[in-house]
Amino acid sequence: MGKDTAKLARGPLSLKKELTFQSVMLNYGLYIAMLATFATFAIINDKFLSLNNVVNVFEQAAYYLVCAVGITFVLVSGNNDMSVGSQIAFSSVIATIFLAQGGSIPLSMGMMLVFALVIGLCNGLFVVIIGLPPFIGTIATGYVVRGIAANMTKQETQYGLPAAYTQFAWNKTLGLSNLTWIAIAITLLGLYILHFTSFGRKVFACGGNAKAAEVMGINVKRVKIACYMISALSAAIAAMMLMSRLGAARSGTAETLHTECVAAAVIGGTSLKGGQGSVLGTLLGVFFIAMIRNGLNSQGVNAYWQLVFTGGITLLGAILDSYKSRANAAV
Amino acid sequence: MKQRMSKILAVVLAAVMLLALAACSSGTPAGSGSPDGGPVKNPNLDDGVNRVGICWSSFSAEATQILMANYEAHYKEYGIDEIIMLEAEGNLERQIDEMQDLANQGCDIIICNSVDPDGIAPVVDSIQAQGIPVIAVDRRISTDVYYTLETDNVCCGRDVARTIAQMTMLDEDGNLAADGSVEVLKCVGNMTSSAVRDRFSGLNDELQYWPHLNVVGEPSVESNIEKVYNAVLDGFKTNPNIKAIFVVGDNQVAPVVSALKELGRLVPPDDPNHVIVASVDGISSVVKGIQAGENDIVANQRFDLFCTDALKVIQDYFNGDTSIQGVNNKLPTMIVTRHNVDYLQKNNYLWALPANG
Repeated sequence: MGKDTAKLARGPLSLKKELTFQSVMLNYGLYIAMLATFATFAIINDKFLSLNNVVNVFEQAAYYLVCAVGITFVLVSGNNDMSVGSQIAFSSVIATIFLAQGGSIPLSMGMMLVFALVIGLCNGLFVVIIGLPPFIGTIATGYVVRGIAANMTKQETQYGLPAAYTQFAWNKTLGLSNLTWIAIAITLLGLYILHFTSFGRKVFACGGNAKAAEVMGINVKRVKIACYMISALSAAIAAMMLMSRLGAARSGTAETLHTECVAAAVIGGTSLKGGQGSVLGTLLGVFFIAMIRNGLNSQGVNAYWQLVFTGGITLLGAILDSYKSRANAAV
Repeated sequence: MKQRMSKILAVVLAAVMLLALAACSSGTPAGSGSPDGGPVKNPNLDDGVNRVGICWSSFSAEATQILMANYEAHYKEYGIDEIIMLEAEGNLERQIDEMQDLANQGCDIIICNSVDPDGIAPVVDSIQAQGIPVIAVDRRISTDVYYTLETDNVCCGRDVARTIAQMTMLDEDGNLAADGSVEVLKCVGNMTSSAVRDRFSGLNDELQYWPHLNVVGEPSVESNIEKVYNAVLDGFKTNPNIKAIFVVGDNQVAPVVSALKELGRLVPPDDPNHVIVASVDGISSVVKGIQAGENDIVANQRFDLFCTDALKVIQDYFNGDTSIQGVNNKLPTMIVTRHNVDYLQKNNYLWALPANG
């Protein structure tokens, strides 16, 4: 498989184009927009690029970066996972109830990871084996697990996490919050798996051209299901981080998380059609969205305008992706 | 391949180390708290601008919008140079981020109306440890804050119950109403809010002293106006003689009135079939409803004082007077009925309906 699969893998890390204005805009337009936005905010607000603020933004974005890294695998494999927010709600509610009743922390974490594997497997079976469209299959799973969480809690916030658990998010190591370190570790792990292992090359191959990948002997179904399980695992880790940060869990949590993660991935160059994307791009996308929100917050811009702004950037990302796909097809 | 990976990892690790090193060197200096344990200004953030952050759970209520407009209109009178207002859209995760953003934007003091009193506490602790005091307005926070300004919701619940009791004490013939003869429907709101819990605690406390009142239903409507509407319709199906309905906030009055209209029970206050509608807040439509005879009782919260009192505390803080630190100021409400509504409006006691409104 090696070289042939690598040809199918067309992440930004392997893109080599002629340096025309069009190719620069297609490949780096969003990064240019990102720099322009940062520059504008930095001019308006001298604290925007201060280290305190940047570190703060990393901390805020930590849990959703972890989730976005997982979703990047699913997107690159040519699918989508709409259930990540619901998975976070479900596993955090169950674990909080368990911990509030005196359960052990390692056991609760193990439980969350096992639940995640089961949910990821279900998503994979519905979409890959049964053939449901990813939108329907995963959204249904999301409804089921969030519904269970809502019924268990009667939609009330669950408290009672051990102090050690809640304090973890607020403690710092080497000047960065523990959550930031976890996010960095998961990002590096995701980067390694997606870009430097044979499994990662298979993911790109399956997303780029599933039939060709099959011809090359890749078990496409297995790879795609594995991507759903990776996404679910990262959602479970994000849930642990969120629980620690909030000191609580509720069934209504992370309702818009999927949208934000996909937006971040698209902004970072991941194609919704599969076969293209990178963990570093997702990291940039997450950071970009978080910095925009932070910059707009500093100007007192209300939450609804922030949605408009983020939506606009995501739209720009999707349009560039569409042009890029057409350009690649023409080549 | 290996070379490329090493390069990328080297770049990423270098970035991480740089960030960590820089973060270490920019940490809050040790001993930033005052000798008496109270907050002092963080020298890292003190840029000579008196900046105040406001982080509110949601701007959607009329009362909040008026309050925010008042903060914006009056802050300069209290020696504040800049004010940054953020809305959390009822989302705790978002509110935690916003509180951190406000602290990093150099706010000297932050007003917080929490989405969740327990969930917000760790970030409030962390911000106060940086020397930025937090004032809790309208909703308590489950940790020690610089100052808490809230409605005395227990008292408010009691006042409403007492007013319902007094209005229904006599039957149609002018005799004392028999025990258990006046049926009351209590629509139970979102009990995760401490304000709502307190209102019900006061209401329930007072109701037991009035034997003629008989609570016939306590449907859980949370903050959902559709549920309120259905709860009233369902309540009358099983108890057609309901005489009074209590809802926890003014935004729930409109669905009650709509349901009464559908039931043919929206009749003038003098009509024996009139149903008393009681609520808390004092928004303009509800006060006007009292004037029009559609609803009857509202405990008018002092949103005007939520603005001026908080700003005064901040002014004192900037002037070095921190004597109010640790105080929980519970403001009384004012009961508005058709008998005093015009007088209160004329004398500008109603925050939502000024004399010239």
